[in-house]
Amino acid sequence: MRRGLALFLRLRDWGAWAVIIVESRLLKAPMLRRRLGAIARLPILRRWIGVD
Amino acid sequence: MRNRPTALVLYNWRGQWPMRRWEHQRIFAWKTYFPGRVVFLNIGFPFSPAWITQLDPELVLVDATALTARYTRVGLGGLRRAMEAAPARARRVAAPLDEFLGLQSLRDVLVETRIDLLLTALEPALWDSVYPTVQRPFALRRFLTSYIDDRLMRRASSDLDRRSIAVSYRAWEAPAWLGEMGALKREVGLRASDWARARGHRADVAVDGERRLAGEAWIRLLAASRAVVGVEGGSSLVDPTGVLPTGAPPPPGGEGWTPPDSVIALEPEAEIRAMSPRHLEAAATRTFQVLVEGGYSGVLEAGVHYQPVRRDLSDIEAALDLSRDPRHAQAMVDRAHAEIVASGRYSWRTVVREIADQVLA
Repeated sequence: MRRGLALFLRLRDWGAWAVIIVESRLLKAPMLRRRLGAIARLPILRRWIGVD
Repeated sequence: MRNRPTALVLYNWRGQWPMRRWEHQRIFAWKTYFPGRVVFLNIGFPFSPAWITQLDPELVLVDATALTARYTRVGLGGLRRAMEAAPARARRVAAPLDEFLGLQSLRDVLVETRIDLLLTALEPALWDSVYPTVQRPFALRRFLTSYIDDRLMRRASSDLDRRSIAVSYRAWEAPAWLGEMGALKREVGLRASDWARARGHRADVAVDGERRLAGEAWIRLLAASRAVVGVEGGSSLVDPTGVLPTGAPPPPGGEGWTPPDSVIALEPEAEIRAMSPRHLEAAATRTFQVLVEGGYSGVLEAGVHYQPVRRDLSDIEAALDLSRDPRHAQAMVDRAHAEIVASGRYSWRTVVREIADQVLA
């Protein structure tokens, strides 16, 4: 159980870093911001990648 | 306790990428050097406190970024939720920075979250005034703003006379709420730039947050420079109630800005000061350090590891001229490297082991 949770948290951390990189670099490009805004329709995804 | 303890590192990062090298090190050095399993939780993203309960860590380490939220609009709600979910038996360690900002909320959250050990860069002489003993149910331990990792320790560096840049420096926008110390951070860079221009040397100096360098780029600049200027980190002001406008950039240097009544202005001898990570990095790259005289957390010694200049910077040109004296400058940087870097006294490996031994004993 704990091993599975640790793996999940590690994947979550990597995912968070991917979001940070996207937010701080790629979102400066207006086209990508529009595309991500279109992809992130689910509220949980919108919250995670910070696209409004 | 299980054979291999589990440590949970709580941090809060939703900021720039790449991170500054020392910030990345401070969070992730635990992965490399902690004698057990380390799990990281970035509380800047939505999380479930149940994950922490189920993980059942022996040690919870609260990084400075999770505490920085006290003086930003993010707030400490996420940290409180996370710490409430930590098992009662877990040892709790917090490592705040910039204690002069939002001091009372920091004190409150340390008590509320039942911290066992506080890692602080403050001089021990200031401990009782910043953390009065009546509000201090935790132990204190001196902790530098940064340490040296194995990779930086092993980094080879060229002799000073083979370096192309005479002097380098970077400073972020020194906000008025740092007081006189903030103004000094800017001034020391401008004076170094003037020195290089007057002598016909090449300088790579930027203040007010321009041409920021992160990650390895900063180390490469240091390693290509004969000299670097600097001043201790810290503040001349203390903001107990968290009223300083840390979210909005006030005028650099503080012109036309008056601190609110609740803010305490410190005398120069009582300022909150600490060695910055860049001073250890410069020792590791064997760069000649021309620094405003100070204590440097007891690590750097004036005239031994760095060339001191007076606080009014009246002798900064003479000190920078010494960086052109190959024997004097090379001897000083070699000594600083041997005593501070190669000795391993200020390495992440040493400090993480010591802290783990202390709290998990």
